[in-house]
Amino acid sequence: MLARVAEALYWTARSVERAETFSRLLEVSHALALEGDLGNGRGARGVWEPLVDITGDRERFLAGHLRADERSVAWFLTFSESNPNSILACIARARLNATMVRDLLPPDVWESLNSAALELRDWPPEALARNGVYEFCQTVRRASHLIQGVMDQGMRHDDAWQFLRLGRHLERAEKTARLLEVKFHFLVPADPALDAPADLHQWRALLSAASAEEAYAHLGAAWSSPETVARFLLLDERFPRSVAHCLREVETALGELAALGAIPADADAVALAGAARAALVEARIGEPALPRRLDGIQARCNEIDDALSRACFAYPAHRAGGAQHSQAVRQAQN
Amino acid sequence: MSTRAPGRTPALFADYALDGFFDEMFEGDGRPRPEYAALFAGLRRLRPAAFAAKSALADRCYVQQGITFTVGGREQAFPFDLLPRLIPAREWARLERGLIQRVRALDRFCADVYGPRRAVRDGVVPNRLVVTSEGYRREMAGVVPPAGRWVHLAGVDLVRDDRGVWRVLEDNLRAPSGLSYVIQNRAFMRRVFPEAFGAHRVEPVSHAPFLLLQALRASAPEGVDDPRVVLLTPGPANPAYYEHAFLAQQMGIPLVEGSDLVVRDRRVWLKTTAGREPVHVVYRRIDETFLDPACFRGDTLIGVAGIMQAHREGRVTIANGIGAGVADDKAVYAYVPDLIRYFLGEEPLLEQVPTYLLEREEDLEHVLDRLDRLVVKAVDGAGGYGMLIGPHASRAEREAFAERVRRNPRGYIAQETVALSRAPVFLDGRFQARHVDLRPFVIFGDEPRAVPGGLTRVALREGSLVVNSSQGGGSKDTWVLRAPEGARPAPAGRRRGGRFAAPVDAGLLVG
Repeated sequence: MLARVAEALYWTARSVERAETFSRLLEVSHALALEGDLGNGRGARGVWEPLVDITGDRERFLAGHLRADERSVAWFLTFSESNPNSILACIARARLNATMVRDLLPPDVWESLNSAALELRDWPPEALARNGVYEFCQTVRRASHLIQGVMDQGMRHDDAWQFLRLGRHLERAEKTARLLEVKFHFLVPADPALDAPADLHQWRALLSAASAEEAYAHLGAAWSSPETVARFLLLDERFPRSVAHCLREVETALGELAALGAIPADADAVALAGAARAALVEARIGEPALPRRLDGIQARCNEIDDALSRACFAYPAHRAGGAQHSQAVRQAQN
Repeated sequence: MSTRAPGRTPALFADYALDGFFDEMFEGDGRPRPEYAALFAGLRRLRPAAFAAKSALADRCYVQQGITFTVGGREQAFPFDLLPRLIPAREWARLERGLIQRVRALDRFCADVYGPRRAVRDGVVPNRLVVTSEGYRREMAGVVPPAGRWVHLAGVDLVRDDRGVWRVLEDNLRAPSGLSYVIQNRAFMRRVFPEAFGAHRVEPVSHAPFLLLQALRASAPEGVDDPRVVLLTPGPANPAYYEHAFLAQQMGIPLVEGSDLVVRDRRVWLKTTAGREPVHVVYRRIDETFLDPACFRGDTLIGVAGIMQAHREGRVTIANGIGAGVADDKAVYAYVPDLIRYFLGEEPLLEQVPTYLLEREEDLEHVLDRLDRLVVKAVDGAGGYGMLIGPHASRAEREAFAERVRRNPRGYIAQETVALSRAPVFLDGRFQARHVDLRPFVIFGDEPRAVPGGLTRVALREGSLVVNSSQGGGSKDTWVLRAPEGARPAPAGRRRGGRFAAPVDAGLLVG
């Protein structure tokens, strides 16, 4: 597998996953802020600020916006050109990366991505303000589901697919861990008396932000305990968005890639994935140190990404510069 | 002087005028040509709005697939016309023989130019013409590429004149593009207009990438049993990137950029996540002058340093051959009929367009006197740039061009203006006549083979003769119609009053 191609596959999957995650977070936050204590514009602290934190771009957000509210955060996450991780930017990045590896992807993957990119690019921003975020977010989610479904069902599970799998699950593990970390204070209330309907509302929102509401309900677990919610999102290996499941997928994908000879068997990323899983096993729900552990898991995820970039993706003539671009444009095709 | 299609004209063809040109679909008296009869009868039952809806659907297919051409930095869908261009089997058979003959001779010519130069020695073509050609690469002198092949994929542009005679307009032997459009046009036709296939028996084209892969593999360096073939692209910024990705996907070979390849130990390698892997055949879609900073332009950022040395030593095949452009030089074009006679001992089967070499004193004066009636082209021009269409140019343009020609006569040729044939093109809700040409493709591995039909290109601007996609050209699907079996009439069920019958090969969707 070409280093450049591996990197493009990895970023195709990561960017699609990120766009889907952010669109779901945006939609859930929007719904959350409509009712209860958080309604009537009082949702800034409870909903919109944490959302900015979850996306991990607080500084960039503050550079362009005075305060976090429905309008500013929705804009920041959807169309903002100053946000390299806006949903639009993620989809555009996925499309660009997929274009570089189009020959390796089932035609429906690229076409869905292309259609989504064109549709979202032409989405009237005022419609977002007028009609809410639902339709926009649904378009992103559907495109993501279609793309990921075709990847899983239409491709041979070879090295190209393993790089997609790696990108998707590394992104998901990191974002679920961050979601839990940011929402931690809702899960482990300092004052047990706070176990009130508003918090149930929050827990439900947290679950649906991880697309876990139904899966959790099927467990038959009562809503009673914040610990069970956290345990589910963190440790339930059978739930595809739990941190445990995602890290196992990362570890498996790396193992398969090593077995296929696509990456060196002694790659740092393999050891790091193991370390992240070990940290998870030691995590105890309800312990005060949980946020630190969650932070540690995110750090491991970033280290895995770094290690991949160094060992597998890097190649000397790094990244197309402007001069290379203009030469490529000028090549006559007669 | 317009002839109109007589009575009972379908609404789609209202006001369709022949204007004295050779029309692909209609005879001079306005009746459809025999090969178009079934299609015409079917169209008669189609309302313009229905056809427009189909056209819009086809446009969406193109945008969805990202089949776009970048013009002046803007992404545009490749305009596609839904009415296919038809070529009867017998006519195609004749063209095919001519194309194969021509490409075979041009391939031999390349081998001769960089080898013994017999054609020069025997006075068939002047040495000066060869060595002053923009496409000539002295770095290749004395090199015999693997399998001795120079032209792996050729695009030979054909036009028909006002009497319907097919003529070669030019050869494209460096990195001819368009094969992907041939295949995708067909796929979209099947999707959007399946009923048009009806009773026609259309030669399939979707196997072309497989033929190309076979040809590339057949040209691998000696001793390599299972060659690794790659397609070298300048990258997504290139206007033809879609085609590169499509062909790589269809052939199942890696699509690589210059920075993905490296030369070590005098061999070419792929840089993979797990280390280096050998490469044996490079199908390159970048200009050869950008291919190797150690051999050609030192400032290239999209090439592979050292690849030419590996090529010269026979360790890697580069297709098309480096320097094959000497044979598609527009001045060498004038000698191609003689080259066919010289190398193959055959009479050329395809006509050419009468051509004047401006470095010949007598030709130059003759041409400058008649600039308003001739087409003047730069010998190394491509994409419809660097040319003067005398009858369409202003006096000032002609004078400016005459000055350029006088300064560099070797750089230009002049040709008689061909009144290119026209075909109906759906524009603004009805069919209008536009000039067309045809780019068939010849794939040359062990033996040359033509892809049935080719890319019919359309000059969408009224009266325009320039069909290049970079200059507002569009395309049509081109159907080579198989001969009726034993000349028996088609089964009765297929011929119900010319209605569109069920599609016959809708099961072959590509992409």
